[in-house]
Amino acid sequence: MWGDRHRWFGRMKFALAVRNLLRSGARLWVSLFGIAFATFLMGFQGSLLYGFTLAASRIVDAVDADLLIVGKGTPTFEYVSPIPERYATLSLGVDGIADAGRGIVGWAPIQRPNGEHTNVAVVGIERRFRGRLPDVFDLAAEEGRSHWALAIDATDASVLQYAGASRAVQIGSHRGHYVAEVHGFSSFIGSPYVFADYVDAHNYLNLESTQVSLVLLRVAPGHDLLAVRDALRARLSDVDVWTQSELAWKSRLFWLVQTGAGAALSLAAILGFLIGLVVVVQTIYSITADSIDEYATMKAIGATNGDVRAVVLIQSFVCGVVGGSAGLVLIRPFAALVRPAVTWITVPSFIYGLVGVAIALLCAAASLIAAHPAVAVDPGRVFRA
Amino acid sequence: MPNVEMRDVTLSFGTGPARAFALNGINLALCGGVFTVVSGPSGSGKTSLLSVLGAMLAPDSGAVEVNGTDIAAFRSAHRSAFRRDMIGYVFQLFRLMPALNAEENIRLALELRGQHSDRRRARDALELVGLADKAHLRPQEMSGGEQQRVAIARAIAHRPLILLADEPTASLDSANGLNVTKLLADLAADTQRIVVAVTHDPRVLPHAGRIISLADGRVATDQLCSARSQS
Repeated sequence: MWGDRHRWFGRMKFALAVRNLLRSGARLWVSLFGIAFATFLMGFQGSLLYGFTLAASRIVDAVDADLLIVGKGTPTFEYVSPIPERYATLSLGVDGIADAGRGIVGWAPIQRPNGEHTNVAVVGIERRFRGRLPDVFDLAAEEGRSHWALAIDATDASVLQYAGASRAVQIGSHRGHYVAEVHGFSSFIGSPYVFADYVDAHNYLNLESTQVSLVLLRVAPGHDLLAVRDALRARLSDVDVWTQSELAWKSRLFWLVQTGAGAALSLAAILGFLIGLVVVVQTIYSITADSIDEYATMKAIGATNGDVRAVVLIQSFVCGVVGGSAGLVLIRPFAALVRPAVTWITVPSFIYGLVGVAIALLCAAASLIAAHPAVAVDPGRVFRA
Repeated sequence: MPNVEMRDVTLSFGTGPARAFALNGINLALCGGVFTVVSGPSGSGKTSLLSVLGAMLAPDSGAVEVNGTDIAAFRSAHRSAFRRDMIGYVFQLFRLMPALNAEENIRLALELRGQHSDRRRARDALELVGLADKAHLRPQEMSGGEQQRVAIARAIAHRPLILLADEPTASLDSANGLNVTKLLADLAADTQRIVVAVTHDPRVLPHAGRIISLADGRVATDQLCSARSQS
């Protein structure tokens, strides 16, 4: 029977599609530019979103703890409210808890050398739980200090008018001393993080001696983390108990959802997709419309709608590959360019795959729309002179 | 030898009082080996006849049997498949793809038909129309006559049962028109295919084996002529 031998893609269809594309002149460049811009926008906004997400939980992710106890209803790590220190001791009574430590997080005004004040988030975690956080005790020792030391991230140096180690600064009602710049803890919330030894942080914030901001716990090997968490929750009902990843996720959600930052960044990425879609549809549609007699001829000599769609799809994908590659190449250099201002931007490798998939979807959608005139054309028109 | 039989075929456009019959009770039998020319004034139904014969349009009523199979009853997708495999078209304006060279135009047609689109087959078809040495040229680099011969090569490369030509000489000068006409007549005789050309061009008629004249969607005259009909 007829019609049982059919391939959607073939060399000649590819040649026809690409050559017609190349013959389309300025419209090809418009299409490539549109896709490059859309790709770049999606990738850049995705990188902003990813970097923001990482930054929102960077401190929680850095500490060396399996479980954390914070005040009831704490929305994010930066907004913990003081809790009694005895929760650390009480936790040790729960089966499976191997170690308990204390942490301080809170806001304090700091006076810059020019006399102006700015609020900083003071972070002080007991040394054995600090994980990847700066070891301020050691940094202070290198500067010949045992107390009142402060470390700041290098990206906040200008905000704090940091002019070198051992400079005295008023923080809260105390005198502190900058001892070091550290890297990797840039703030995304507008106020710098300032790292201190646990005891010093406690003093900077003027907390009562029996209060801490959070309790950090380590689960003994062989115990189920979630089971221990649930046991703690059952025993300590007036505080929140989270695993490290839960608190990290909670912090991310808070900053992404509550502040609208996530929606804004996502919306920009979606806009990038839509802009790309409109540009590609418009361009490929007009190229298709220009070649309508060729499509009619193809159909007259037996091309199926699938063949016609394949040619349009090839054109769309060629635009996608060329324009998309240009857009992808731009993401990292541009991210590096804006990093001094947007310190937390991170371009993960997977963003290339994600944006690539998005561009492939965009091209497929564009070709479906743009192929319409070619699919609908009456092959009988080829008989008309 | 292939044969086509059209029985009481009608095709109309429009509805109600505006309905016009392009074909009005056509009865015809066509067989291979004869170069058949369909002529008649504008609006007589020549192109409609070609469209129905080539499975481009389905008639309102009647039967179009190709080797005993009624293609008038086919659904759209089936008609498309039939057209792809069994019909070769030659158009007045050649309708070659300007982005492809002569050989590639033929290979595209083969590819669309799901057949091997290798260069050899395309070259064979070009050889048949005497253009083997112009395989690398694009349509715009060839004369009208050469383009039409490439179009014929494209139409016959997949070895169709029926070759349909719509005003194949209308865009050509006398010499090229004559060449193309002879080529179509020779193809009918040499390959025993059904070759039907719709034309206004009186230069074509002396080469026809059969001349069917249409008027108002009906067959006005139908005459076998010349030695070609005997071949």
